[in-house]
Amino acid sequence: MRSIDPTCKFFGVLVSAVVLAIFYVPELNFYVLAACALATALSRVPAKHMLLFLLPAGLLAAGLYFSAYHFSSDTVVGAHRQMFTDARVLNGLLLSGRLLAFAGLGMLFSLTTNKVDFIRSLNQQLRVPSKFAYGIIAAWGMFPKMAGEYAKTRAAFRARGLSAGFVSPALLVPLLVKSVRWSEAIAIAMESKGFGEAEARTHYRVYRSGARDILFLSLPPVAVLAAGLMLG
Amino acid sequence: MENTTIQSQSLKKGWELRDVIMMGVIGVVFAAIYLVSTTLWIALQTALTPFGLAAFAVEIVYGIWFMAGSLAAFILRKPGTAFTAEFLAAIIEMFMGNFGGPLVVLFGAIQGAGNEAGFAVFRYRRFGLPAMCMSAILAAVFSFVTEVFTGSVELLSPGFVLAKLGLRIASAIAFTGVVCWLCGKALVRTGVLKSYPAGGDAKPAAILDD
Repeated sequence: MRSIDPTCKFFGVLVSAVVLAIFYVPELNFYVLAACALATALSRVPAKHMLLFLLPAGLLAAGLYFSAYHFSSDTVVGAHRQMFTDARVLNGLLLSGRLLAFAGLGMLFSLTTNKVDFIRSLNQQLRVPSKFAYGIIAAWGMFPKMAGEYAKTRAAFRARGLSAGFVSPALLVPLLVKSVRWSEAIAIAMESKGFGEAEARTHYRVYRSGARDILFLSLPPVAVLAAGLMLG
Repeated sequence: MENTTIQSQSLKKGWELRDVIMMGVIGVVFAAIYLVSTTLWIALQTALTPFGLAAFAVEIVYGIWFMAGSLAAFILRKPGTAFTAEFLAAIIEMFMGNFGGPLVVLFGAIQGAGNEAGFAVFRYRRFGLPAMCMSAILAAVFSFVTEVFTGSVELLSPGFVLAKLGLRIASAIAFTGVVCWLCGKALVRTGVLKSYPAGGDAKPAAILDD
């Protein structure tokens, strides 16, 4: 999975998720989750990372299951199916299973894709303007600095005897002030190095989609569609 | 002479590099906030699970997830800013490891369209509290309509769904309307926005003259 072009992977996963949302088939969600987990594991992603990624979705899915169980509407989709006798169990499984399937698809993309590669690939293949591509990469690169600044502001608050929790709105404005200053500084730095839209850019690494990439773009959505039609 | 042509070109093109980076940086700040609020949502939802009220938890924090778009539009005041900033924040949120993956980006785009529509209602002439709230409300409505499709809301009873929508709009007005507006105001007061449309008519406090 790691070698597939990020742009193709992104749209393959996204379209699959949208196709999945059409169907009301509880089993399908779990098949998709299993397929995604298998594909991610085969890309040599450690099981620990996968479980950590799926943990929040698992907790949410449990909550949704009970919500649907308690406040189920009278519409029962797929009531003809014999597998689940209780409509409320069925609705609950449907809501929570879908969330888990979406999380599986998200995991398949997120844990096997390098972020900067993804942006560069979008830039080269979808002609996303360089201004945006490099702007995002630059902003993304600021993240560790922001985290540091946030810690610093908290320390400054403490030094003045003001209390500020881990997440405090009072810390937001100082961080935003710094962010505005930094964004100006980055823009000036980039422009002073000759960054502009006018000249055609050359690329150290060229991203192109081959047959494998196109296959990943088209096969998973079709597979989900076919499975949905067959099971539903 | 050459200077003026460059300036008029960049105006015609809409965004300058610094605007784009501003949106990106706001995106990073809010993506981090979004991720924290996702954790908050999970904690709330897990706590409410035994009562079957878990589906309400998301609505309480939902308003936080529209903040990037409205704040960026407040600062830059250009058509398209709200959508783009919200979209970028969603991409960065995906980078930071939101479990939705690519789907988060799709949701971000739809929410951003809602944000944008709120300012379009006022023809991009007003960016005060009413416009911020309109942006928040439309973002909430847009996101809710999407969920009817992806989250199969129709499986829940109608009263429950209406309560969800009401709570989401209230949360959006509180966070994206009021808190964003207050943040924007506070930023203008510090004087860092002097060279941006938002800070044009601001009078920076004397204490900042250093």
